[in-house]
Amino acid sequence: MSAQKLVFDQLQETLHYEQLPNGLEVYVLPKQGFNKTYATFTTKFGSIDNHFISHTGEEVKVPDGIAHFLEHKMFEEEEGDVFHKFSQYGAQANAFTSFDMTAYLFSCTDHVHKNLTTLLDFVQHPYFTDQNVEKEKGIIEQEIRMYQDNPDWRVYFGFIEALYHRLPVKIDIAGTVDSIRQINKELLYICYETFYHPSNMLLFVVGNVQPDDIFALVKENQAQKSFQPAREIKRLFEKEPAPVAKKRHEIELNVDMPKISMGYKETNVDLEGKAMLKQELSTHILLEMIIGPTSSVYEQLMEEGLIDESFGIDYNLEQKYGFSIIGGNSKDPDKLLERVQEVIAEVQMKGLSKADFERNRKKKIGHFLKALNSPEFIATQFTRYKFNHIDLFDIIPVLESLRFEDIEERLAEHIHEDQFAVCIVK
Amino acid sequence: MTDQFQSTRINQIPVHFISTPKYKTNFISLYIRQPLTEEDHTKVALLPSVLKRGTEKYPTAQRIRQALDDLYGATLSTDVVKRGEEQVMIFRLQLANEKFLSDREPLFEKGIQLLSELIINPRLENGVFHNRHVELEKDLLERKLSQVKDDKIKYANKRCIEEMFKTEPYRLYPYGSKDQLEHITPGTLYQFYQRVLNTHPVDLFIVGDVHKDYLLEMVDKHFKLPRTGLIDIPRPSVRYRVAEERRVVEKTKVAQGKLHIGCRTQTAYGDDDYIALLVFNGLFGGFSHSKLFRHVREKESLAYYVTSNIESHKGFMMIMSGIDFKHYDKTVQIIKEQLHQTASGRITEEELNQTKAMLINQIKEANDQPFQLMDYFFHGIVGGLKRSSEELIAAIQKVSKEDIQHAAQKVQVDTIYFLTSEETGDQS
Repeated sequence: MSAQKLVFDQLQETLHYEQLPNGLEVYVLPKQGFNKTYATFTTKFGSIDNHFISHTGEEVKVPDGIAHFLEHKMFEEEEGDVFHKFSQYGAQANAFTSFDMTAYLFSCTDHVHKNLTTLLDFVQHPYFTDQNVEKEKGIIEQEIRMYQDNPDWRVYFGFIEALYHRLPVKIDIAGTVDSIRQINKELLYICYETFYHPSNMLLFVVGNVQPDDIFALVKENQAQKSFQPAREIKRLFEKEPAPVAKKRHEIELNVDMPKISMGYKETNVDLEGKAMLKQELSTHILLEMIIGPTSSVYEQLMEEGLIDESFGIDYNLEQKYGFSIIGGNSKDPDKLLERVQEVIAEVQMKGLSKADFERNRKKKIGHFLKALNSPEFIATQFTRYKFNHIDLFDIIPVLESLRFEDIEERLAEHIHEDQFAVCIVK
Repeated sequence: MTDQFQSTRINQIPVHFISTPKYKTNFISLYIRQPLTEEDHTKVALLPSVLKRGTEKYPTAQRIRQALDDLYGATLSTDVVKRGEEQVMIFRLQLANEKFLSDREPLFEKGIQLLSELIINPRLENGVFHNRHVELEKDLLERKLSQVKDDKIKYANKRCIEEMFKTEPYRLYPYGSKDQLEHITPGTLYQFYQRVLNTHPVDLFIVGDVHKDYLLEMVDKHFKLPRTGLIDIPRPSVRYRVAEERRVVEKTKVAQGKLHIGCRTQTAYGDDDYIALLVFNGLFGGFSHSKLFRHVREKESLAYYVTSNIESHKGFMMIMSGIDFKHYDKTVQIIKEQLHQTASGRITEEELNQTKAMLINQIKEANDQPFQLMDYFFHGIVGGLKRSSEELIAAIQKVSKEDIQHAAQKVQVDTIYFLTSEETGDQS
């Protein structure tokens, strides 16, 4: 088996791809002229995966925050922490856990091969002891407390909590001070063995590299290690009712400027591939058209003093869940809520404008080109999309193929009063 | 491997540019400098947003944003930063390169034109800034200033600096103050802006896949400022002996204590031992292999983040951490102990090499990010000493343990600021 090449003419990019015998998918995107190389090694295991059939075939429910806890613990090796090893070769290492995945990464300008080996080796070598697991609890407790004081984080999670009854996306990624206390090394090993199999992982390397060299290195590295045969991972989710859990959620945080997040819970989920990408992009455009920075209402809200530059809109879509989110700082969040609902009702009545559609589509294309300057964006977004069977480089063709009617359909499908919730931090 | 700016002057404006095929977009930035003063710093903070409100050709903010969207989602952002004792307005524009688009509009020229329109032809009313625009932006700025309290890390930073530099201009917040805001009118702001345009140092930066001749021709065609003479901005003094370490404790409703320690480094960007200070900071608190991270986080589990940063022009270093309220004494003690250890030369060969490798990596990585590259070059302009990245890397490689030790010996704790919970006792 040798690497395949995917050429994207218009973007002047060539992506190299190979799947190894152990199931690991490897992608390399050479970037000539760049100094930096950025690599991510990602497992499809995030905070929502808290109930599953383990590698030994047993049904397991794990404490909240375990995927994130595991991420912290992977950095520890018998001989100390792995940051040390990276910094010897000038690499900046890091990791992050989201709802759906855990990514380990580094960036460097020299010794790419050494750093890549370090990355593969430490992520494929768990080392948990009772003592080192205990020690981590103090650090993560401080991380959780830091976020408790952060009003933007609180309003974001408060909003998701309002949307969902049961789906674990409503749980804070880091868990709580109490839930992390229940974590022990045995539970960490169960998660590790279940989700860190190469067949559930993706390696992406972008930068000033020779694809052949990278593939040779990764293949040799993987051939030296033994893995259990790949088995299908079964995640268990309780059925999530369609309506939102609560219409309104308020959090007291003693802030000078209140914050509001509002939006709609997506009912059209369980998508993948182009259909999913199309829904994601058309909903983004829809929201921009309704209330984005170039809509006329944005300017009015600014003049009325109800929003400031923090006001934004977003749409998140994954296999199990999806939601739009509108909000930011507001002196008078209830007034803003009322105005946004008015604006939406008006759009529902009068319809959308074709000119707005064209302008926002153009803007999205430009923003995507801009994002392609960023190795971080390419690696993390490519991986996220791939886990959903989408190709990142399909974004421009899909944007170009969108029709005005697609946006109108989204308006009819996504915007429903029953699906609407709001969270206010004040 | 590194990209270097070429500099020239067009219409009396220094223009720094790199012509490279590396990126899919083109980058343009304008830096306008002024001395940091109580009287003017709020006007400076307000100006970029008022200018973004409207021009003669695009009279409303919405029209400007639409014009940007029409340029394939060009992005215009503004910022106001503090560099030593000066305040700098930065206008940044990023535009797609038309060669990647099916529709080949001359985006670069339109971008330069738009930026110049914004700076030179603001929307006026009765010969001064548009009243409604100024009022709106004053209101937005006032809200932004109230909100600083809501971000506890930012707030602790601001408060520590205010306490530490009580009698020096460096105490001033780059986004201005509420007191000054009240006095600003469209007339006084416009008058001030005219002075800025005529006499304050301006630097224009361009990076992109644009041929040098065309690039300069476009600047010449569209960018003409009414220059009448330049003011001189003096460099701040960094020599300051700390007579007595100060402690400031403030209480509010928080889940985590914010410990911010302000130190004097006695070293400025242009000084010979600045590079040693840079390496010292990396070794002490700049990275995840640094002393602070290892001792405060990894060994003692006291914090999730603990870091130190140096400010290049005022000789200032800030140490920051989020800790449990009851661990104040212990954490301060460990931090001071590590500072002391470094100053007495307890530096391993491994730490030294790791830190150098990390710093060199950072510098090389910045070469892939045009806006960072511009910021770095601009530091050289402010600091009065331009070092190319090659020179900087070579200088870092030469730094010895003794150099770091000397730099560390000059570092003195000045002010320890602690933001803690209302529920804790007096002895935090």
